[in-house]
Amino acid sequence: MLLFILKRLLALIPLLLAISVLVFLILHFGNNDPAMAYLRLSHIPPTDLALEAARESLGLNRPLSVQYLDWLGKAVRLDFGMSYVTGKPVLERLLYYLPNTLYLAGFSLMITIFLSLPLGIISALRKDRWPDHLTRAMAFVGVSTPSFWLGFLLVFFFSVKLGWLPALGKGGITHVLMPAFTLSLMSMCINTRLIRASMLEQMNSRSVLYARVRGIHEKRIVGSHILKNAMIPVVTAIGMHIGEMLGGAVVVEIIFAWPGVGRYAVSAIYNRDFPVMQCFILMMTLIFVFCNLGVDILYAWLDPRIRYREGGKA
Amino acid sequence: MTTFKALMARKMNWFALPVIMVILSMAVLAPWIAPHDPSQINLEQKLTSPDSEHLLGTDHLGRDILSRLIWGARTSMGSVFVIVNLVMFFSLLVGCFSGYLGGWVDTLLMRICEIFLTFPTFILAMFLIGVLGMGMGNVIIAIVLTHWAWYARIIRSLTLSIKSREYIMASQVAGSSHFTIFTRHLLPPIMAQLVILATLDIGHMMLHVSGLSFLGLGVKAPTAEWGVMINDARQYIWTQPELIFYPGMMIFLAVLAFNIPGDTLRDSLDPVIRAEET
Repeated sequence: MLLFILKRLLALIPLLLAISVLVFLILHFGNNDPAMAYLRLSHIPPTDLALEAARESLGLNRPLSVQYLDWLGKAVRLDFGMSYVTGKPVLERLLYYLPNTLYLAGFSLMITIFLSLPLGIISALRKDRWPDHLTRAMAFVGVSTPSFWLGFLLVFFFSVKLGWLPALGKGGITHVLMPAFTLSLMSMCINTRLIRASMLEQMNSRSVLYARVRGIHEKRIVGSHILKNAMIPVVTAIGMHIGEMLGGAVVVEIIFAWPGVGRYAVSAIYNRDFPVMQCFILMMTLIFVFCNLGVDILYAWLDPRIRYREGGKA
Repeated sequence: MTTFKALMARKMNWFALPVIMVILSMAVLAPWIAPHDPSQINLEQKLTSPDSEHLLGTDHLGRDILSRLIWGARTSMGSVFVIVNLVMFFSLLVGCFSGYLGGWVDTLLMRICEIFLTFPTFILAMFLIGVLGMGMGNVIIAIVLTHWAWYARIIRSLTLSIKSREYIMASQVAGSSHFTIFTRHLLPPIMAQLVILATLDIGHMMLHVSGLSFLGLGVKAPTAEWGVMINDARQYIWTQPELIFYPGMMIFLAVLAFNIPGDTLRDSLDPVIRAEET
């Protein structure tokens, strides 16, 4: 198992390098001039002389490969440069907002898991009866609802009409309920459908048939034969949900004025503050990559077939 | 024809298909059926309630809501149409090359795909727009760039699976050229599957486009788009909540209407794809 984890970690290194090259190249070949953006945001008139000086100080007139290596060297030492707007280190600012985003995304992931499990299981056990129809209809409606609309509908009912929940900002537990529900609805519905499909597949498997033949009690069959095996594909899907949530969090943070990294990144896009955007995408991708790694490890632990197949190969 | 029969057999499609027809005709006929110019600003008539002239009232700049909703269908459907076609084109190119040629071409192309798949989709799209600049053209580029790799990988495994089937080998034995095998025997089944796959994703793409527009990264100011309309109406939630309700309802209905037949079509997907999808 340890070998498996080690191998996975080593495999990440070339992937992360490739990601950094891609991010660097996109920034470099986009139709923008970092020197120009820097001057504009520092309120310096963009004369030729000033542009030249800015290029010199930002190191933009060196060869591309030198620029990349320099940038990478700094990034490895967690130096992502200064924001053009504030002149302060980018990473510090993003790390200041990050816990809020992780709190929101983590809360949403909990909602996703704890609501989709019972719904998916009931739907599968009562297949083609009313609980199943209801759950499936709900899942359909859920995956089709735009989060930025749902957010406002919730604000309208619970804040404007009923006055039960605060509409904006971060505070106690009541503040996180609406944003987290908005963020989780899509993943929750996808997960419910996945659990249902996975359960139904297991119910038709030979091991379940054999267990029935042996006269094992139905509750035990569901608990230890169906549920355990049905969870394996569901675990892999969690990685996908985390990716969706990191992206979805941006929209939700804007709706509810939630002080997270996404909201900060959107304002950086408006300001064309490139160091912030660059650090933001690298940070989110890194989180995503490591969450997926965690899911992979969990998966290998649950399903020994994976572990042996991949561990055996060089 | 069998697909059509399968569609008609499910009751939910009797709701979805008419809705799709209505939205598509709104998109195509927008200049003729919209009662007003969608970007005509009239500050004397801002935020009016529905009356005989403005059936759904006006927004904060006095623009006719109904006309903006109708033109919004054109923006949404138009951009999604372009996105879906571009994604199909690039993924077909990469996936078929990769799967049919194999070897180092395959390894290289799949490595590139893997890099694109490592990013959270929406965040990469945001970053691309941030670098390229805002506007619908760049939204389309960003969504194509973030989605082609998913498709390319599926097309590749489909190509691999079809390539090893007996009728392809029979064709090889009969002395057909690579070109003939590819265009006559490989492309048609792949295209059929690809079109279904793309149809399944239309709703998802619409949510992406309107989500980016909602963040203010999509269409430029006067253009009518549903996501932008919601963003414009945000500050009026206490006084004019219906301004948020209408465009959101349009997105919701459109996405729902495209997701429902998608669910029927899913059954006619090749098992190779269904295995890849999860």
